[in-house]
Amino acid sequence: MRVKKTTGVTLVEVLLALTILTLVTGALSQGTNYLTRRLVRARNASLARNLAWRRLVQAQVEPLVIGHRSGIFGAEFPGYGWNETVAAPSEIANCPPGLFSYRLNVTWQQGWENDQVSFETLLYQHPPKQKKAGNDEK
Amino acid sequence: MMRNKPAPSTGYGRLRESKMMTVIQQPGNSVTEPVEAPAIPKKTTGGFTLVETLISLALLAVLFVMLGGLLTGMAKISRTAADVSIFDREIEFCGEIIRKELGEMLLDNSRADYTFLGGNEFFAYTTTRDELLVRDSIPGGAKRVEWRYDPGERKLVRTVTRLVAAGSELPPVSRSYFLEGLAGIELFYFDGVSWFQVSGISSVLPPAKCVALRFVTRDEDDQRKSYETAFWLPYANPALQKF
Repeated sequence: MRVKKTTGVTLVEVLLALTILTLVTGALSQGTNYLTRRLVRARNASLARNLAWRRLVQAQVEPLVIGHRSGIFGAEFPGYGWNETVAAPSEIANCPPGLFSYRLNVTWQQGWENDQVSFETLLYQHPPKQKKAGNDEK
Repeated sequence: MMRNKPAPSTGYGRLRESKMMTVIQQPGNSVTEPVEAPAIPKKTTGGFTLVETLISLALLAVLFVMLGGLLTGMAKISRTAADVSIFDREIEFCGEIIRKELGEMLLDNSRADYTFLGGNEFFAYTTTRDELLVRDSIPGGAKRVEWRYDPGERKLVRTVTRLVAAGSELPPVSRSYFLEGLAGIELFYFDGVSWFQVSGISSVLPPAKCVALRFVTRDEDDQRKSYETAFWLPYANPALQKF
């Protein structure tokens, strides 16, 4: 008498498949989290780049003073702040008066960490005119 | 011929291969010798118990829920990324256009067409900058550029009119539309000490050293979000003043 052989999947095989599926799902989840963080970061960085213009144009019209300053962008942009460093350009020999090295960092809080975008440029402002001795005498 | 009963199988639904011992009694031979009988394949009863099936189904359900959430999340990320990318690029594009045009702005408050006008959701200036957006422009000519938020269309409208001498035929007005879904724009100016918001229908901008433009949007939850960029006004620098 020939007996019909029943083929099937053992419990171990099923559990193994589920384990692999779990690992794949975990990897996908990690990837999604990473993408989400990168997207949020890109959006915040875009906003920070635009906000940097506000500080940069203000720095151009205010008298440049060598030193380090910091501030915030107001209640409309919570968590966003800036810090700037104005210095004499060290890489330029015989630096003309009125030329400054300007470094601006726009920072923001992303999750538990602080992130930032940085800009560095040279700014020139006309040095204040010096009165001639002859004019003073007149 | 007499056969012994086969041994009862042990276990429920589990196969256990066993060789049965059969006693065969032959005529004329009083001695009964155990003889190994040919193995008979037993019916194999394969399957899972109810508990195993339930555990597997529960695990699968959990995994499907996780996968569903992941797929939904990824679709949302993809959609948001596309929207954000387009919107951000348009904001930067508009900012670059305005920055270049203000770099070549013509300002003369004694002439109506050469003023910097600002107001609620609106500003206008005159420039010599020849942008590619103005297809029918003449290089070197003066153009009046007006940016206005259209609340009906929820777009930013840029209108360019060529300024011509009296008696000449007026050229067609060039219009471009940007930032679909925008909720509004706000204009600020910096007088050297503080920033002030420009309000009202339309007025000549007070003496300012730079201006800032804020793009306001609303997200899905109707939360206000702002993007802001700023522009330096070259006439604020006496060395670069043209008028």
